[in-house]
Amino acid sequence: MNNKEFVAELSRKLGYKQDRTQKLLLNVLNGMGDSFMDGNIVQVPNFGTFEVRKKMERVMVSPTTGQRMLVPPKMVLGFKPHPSLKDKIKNGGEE
Amino acid sequence: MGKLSVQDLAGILVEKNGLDKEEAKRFVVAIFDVIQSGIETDKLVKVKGLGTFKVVDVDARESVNVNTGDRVLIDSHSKVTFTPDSTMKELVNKPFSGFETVVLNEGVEFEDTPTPKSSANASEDPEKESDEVVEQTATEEEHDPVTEEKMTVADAEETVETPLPSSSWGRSILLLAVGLCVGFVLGYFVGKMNFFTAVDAQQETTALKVDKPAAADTLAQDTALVEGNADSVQAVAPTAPAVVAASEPVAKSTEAEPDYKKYDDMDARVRLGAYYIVGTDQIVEARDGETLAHLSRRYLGEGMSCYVEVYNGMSAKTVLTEGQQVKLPKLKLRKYLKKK
Repeated sequence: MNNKEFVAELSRKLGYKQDRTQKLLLNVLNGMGDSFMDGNIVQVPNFGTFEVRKKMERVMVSPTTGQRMLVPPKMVLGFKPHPSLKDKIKNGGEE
Repeated sequence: MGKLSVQDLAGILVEKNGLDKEEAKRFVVAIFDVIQSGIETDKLVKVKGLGTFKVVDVDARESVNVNTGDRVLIDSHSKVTFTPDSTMKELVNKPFSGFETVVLNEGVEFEDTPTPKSSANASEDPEKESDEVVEQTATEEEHDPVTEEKMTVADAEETVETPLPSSSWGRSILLLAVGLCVGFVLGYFVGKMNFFTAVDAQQETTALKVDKPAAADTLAQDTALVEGNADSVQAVAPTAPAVVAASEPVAKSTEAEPDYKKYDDMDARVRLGAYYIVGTDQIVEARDGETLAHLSRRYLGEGMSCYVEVYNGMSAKTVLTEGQQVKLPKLKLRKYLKKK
């Protein structure tokens, strides 16, 4: 399901026009982004938790040049699915 | 570290889009419901501005029961993965946005485990200093998260913590720094000494020595020298008056010179410059809207604005008004720069 389909499905479900849902979606995502910048996590019940994690710097060997490089530390966004979702997927896969 | 809920996200919609509370909540819930159903149905959902949710199959693997230590088999199954998209990645990584991966130079090493010389290059010592050197080339901003990181990296890498660098390379750097500082201090004093001893050398042949730092015309002193050299014993008497005569102009001119010290203190350019400020040369009037720098260039030439600035207590960029009076300092070439 790509972005277009996602917005279409969302609009259909709510009965809004697509451009309206797009705008609202954008605001929600911006809100999440601000929360991440402040260091807060976003928790959605029965879906999962989005959190910001810090990654330490590390030494890596470039696959192209073979030189040793230093990758700087960074912050990344992580997602932890809620157990109910996890189970659904787990069991769905086993079928 | 706080938590944001669906309620908070809904609140944003109420605020920004004028939805009512119920509608907003319904919307936010719907977002994730649709994502969920999309994950279940299509195994992949892409949301622009957020990221991609994918269902990934994992093979069965052997593992150990953490409590009992028995070997256990984890069945093959599927799991939900999330990869943020580039917009979100950049947003989240903002505090570290100035960093880039850099090439690691030869001789720099990071030990992941505290075991000594585990690498193939046995001749190199494990170095902690390298962190700081390389990081400084990479960083431009935000030292706090970096220093925090350096601490944790350093802690992780070393079993023994020492306040001073324990490596030989670090120690030699420290010695070099100390040596440089000492060298600078010594050099400063040596420089000051040379200023005085150059003059003293000229007067070695005379019995009398001038105490005050001689900045006066050396003509009088030279005559004293000539007379002194002719007959050192007999000429002591005749040189005495000559030297006395010489010391008078010395006394006179040194009256003006101590004043220059206050200008030296005001500006390093004046302190290191080729001239003393010995008084006012003339008072001139500025043209409308010209800067002090421009005026000084007009009357004194290039490179003299520091003297004018300091003498008038104004900066070079001061914009002057029509007819504003500016004092031009009288400048005297410093003794040790005499071209003989």
